[in-house]
Amino acid sequence: MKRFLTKTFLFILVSIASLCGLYFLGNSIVRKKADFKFDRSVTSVIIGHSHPECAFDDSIIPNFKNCSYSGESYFYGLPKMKNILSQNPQIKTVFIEFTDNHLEKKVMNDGIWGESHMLNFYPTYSPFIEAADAELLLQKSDRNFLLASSISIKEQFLKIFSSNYNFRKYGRYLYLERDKTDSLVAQQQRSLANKPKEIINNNIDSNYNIGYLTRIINLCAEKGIKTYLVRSPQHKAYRDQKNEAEFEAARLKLFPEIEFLDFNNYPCLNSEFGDLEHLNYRGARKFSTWVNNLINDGLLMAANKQEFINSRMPQ
Amino acid sequence: MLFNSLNFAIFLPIVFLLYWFVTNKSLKYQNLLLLVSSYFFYGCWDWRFLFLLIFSTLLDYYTGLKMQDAPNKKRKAFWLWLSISINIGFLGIFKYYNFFATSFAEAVANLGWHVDPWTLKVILPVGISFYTFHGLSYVIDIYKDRIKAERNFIEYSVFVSFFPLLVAGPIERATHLLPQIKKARTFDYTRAVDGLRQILWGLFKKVVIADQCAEFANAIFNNYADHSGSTLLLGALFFTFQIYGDFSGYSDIALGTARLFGIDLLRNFAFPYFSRDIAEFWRRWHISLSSWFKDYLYIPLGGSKGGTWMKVRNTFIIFLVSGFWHGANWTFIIWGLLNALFIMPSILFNTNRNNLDMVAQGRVFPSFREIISMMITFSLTVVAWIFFRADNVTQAFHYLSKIFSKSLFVAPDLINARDCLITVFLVLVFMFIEWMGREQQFALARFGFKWPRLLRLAFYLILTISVFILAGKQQQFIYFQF
Repeated sequence: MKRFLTKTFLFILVSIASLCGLYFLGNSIVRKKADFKFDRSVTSVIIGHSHPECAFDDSIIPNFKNCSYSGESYFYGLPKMKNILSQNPQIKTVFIEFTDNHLEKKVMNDGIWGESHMLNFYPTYSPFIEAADAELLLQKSDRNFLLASSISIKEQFLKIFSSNYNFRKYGRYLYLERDKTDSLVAQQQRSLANKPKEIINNNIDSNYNIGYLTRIINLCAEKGIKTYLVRSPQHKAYRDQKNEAEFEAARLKLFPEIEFLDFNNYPCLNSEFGDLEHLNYRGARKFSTWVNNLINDGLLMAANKQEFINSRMPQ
Repeated sequence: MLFNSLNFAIFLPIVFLLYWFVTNKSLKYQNLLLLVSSYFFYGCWDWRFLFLLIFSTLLDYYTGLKMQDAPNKKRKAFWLWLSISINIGFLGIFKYYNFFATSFAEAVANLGWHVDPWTLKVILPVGISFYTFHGLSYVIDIYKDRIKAERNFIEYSVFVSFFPLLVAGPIERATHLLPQIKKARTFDYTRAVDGLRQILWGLFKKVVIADQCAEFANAIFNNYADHSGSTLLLGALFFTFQIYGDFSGYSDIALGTARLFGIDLLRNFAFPYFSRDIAEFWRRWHISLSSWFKDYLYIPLGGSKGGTWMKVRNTFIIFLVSGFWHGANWTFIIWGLLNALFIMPSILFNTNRNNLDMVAQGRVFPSFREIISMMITFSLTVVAWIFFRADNVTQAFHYLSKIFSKSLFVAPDLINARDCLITVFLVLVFMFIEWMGREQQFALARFGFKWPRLLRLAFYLILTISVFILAGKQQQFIYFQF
């Protein structure tokens, strides 16, 4: 029995050591070779989740890169931003999506350590995630973390074997073709008939994601990069459901110093939405053209930017 | 608690250490520990169904004793049928009631009458088909005077609920397992190491082969209308390896785990995809269920004694019942029917016992004839698996007809071609190891034994690491639903 236990224990130990070795080796190689470099002409970027991903067509706005990605929380956005900023010193402006659902604690925390999010994003960004942040994932969901770490080893070695270190692909403008807004609006109006407005500001202090937004803002500030919070257009039926007063109060409490560019009320037709929260390609084309004109007309120079936006808002 | 979960990785060493270090002085305590751990293991799914398991155990224990003490054959038969009726009754309620209710409603709807079926909103208790069959074999064996009723309740309960086999078999026989439970067990180093090796191979089959194949099989089957014939064929092949890796992987882990406790369970798989005809396939696939049906259904129905017609009738009956055992869906019944049809030529021409040995025994390469026989048998099983996997019969027929269309000859359209290629490569490596180890109890049993020790250890290490690295989204074992 002693022989069996000793040998089994040693084998387990060697296996764990090999796995840890592979994990750190893979991560360190990928970390060194990771390619986040954009064209030298790119001087401003936007990050966030699917809302800006579908709204900002970066082929229309010059010197601008859409780095948003569906379902990406600020937790995973932070290591991405660190790399983008360190490899692209020409970047002078960072727009960060900050919208109603960022205040929904459960949705946002799930976006960090929920199974599908962690298994998707952790393997992508594990080479760049700091030990303390990885510890948070381990604390919150040890099972998902172990699974995500094992997938991460596979992902890093696939990158190494294929010599593909391109991380630019984890941020893009998403050309959304679908157009289901008419049926969605009708469906939502039926279900909202007797429903009160959603409480969106539910205990922001335990919303871990907000803490990582603060860290992204601080990172930009350290590098002398101008940061703006942005809210992409949402359908009126969606806006009506949200409690605007609570969102505004939370924003002012959390980020009083950061300028907020609110495009929430930008008018689009149903046919220009993919669903209530996302513009489709028609909406994105119209909206991005308008934003480009705003920038050319001096939006970022204006003293009161929201007033500037509102004054040029199409009727 | 899944075998491929962190919880089980903690549970198993704790029970192992308690078993061999704390309760090793007394067989009674060892069995009590196995029983408590088994109930804990089962309760981790849903503790409420523990009552059903305990009730089923009590029922068969009590009726077994009553049969043993029955003054005459009539009284004995009464207790047997009471046990069978209640056991099948529970299985019927939990597993088949909704199927019959909705099928009846659909049938009368065709006659123009509308009936709202009253369906049960209960989930199927995990492993019910397996432990019900354990109990049934026990009471039937007592009735047939093959065994004596077990008077020790703890020992009988361990026979029914021993955790490695509780939720997905192998379906044990009292004649095989009970004597092992009653006998003092001593730790055997070779057997324990062999057990660990079998667990490792089972995990590799489940996590690396089955779960990887599942991602593609699910994606293709769930959107079969959007794919070409070649992609659908690939999806069917992925499912073929998924179900084999999944179920035989589970059985390997179960057998390996039992060996750690000094208990040998019945072998459940013997390299079925190397079979040369369907009769051989069914001697190698889910052996414990096939032999259960043979002993408790086929032979009591007359087996092959009453001439060809009797043989054909009984073969159809056991395949239909076997299909129905797998689930309350017409797809399983058609799957059973197809297998019965596939096996018919060998039944009619009396060739069903032609291939009793392992293919290419003592040789590395099979003959041309053997290759062709294996390919035909494999293709037939792939066709049958399409029905097994499909959500309904219509989908299965559409799927099949699309495979045999012009689009079979275009390149497969897959979203993640890189991962697909990796999975195909892993399946090829897996089948190579299976082929090389096909004359053993499980492929890894003697694989690499002639290599230098360090190389063999490195091989085990690679398998262990690949189990961790390739663990994707954890998939439930397919046979848990049965």
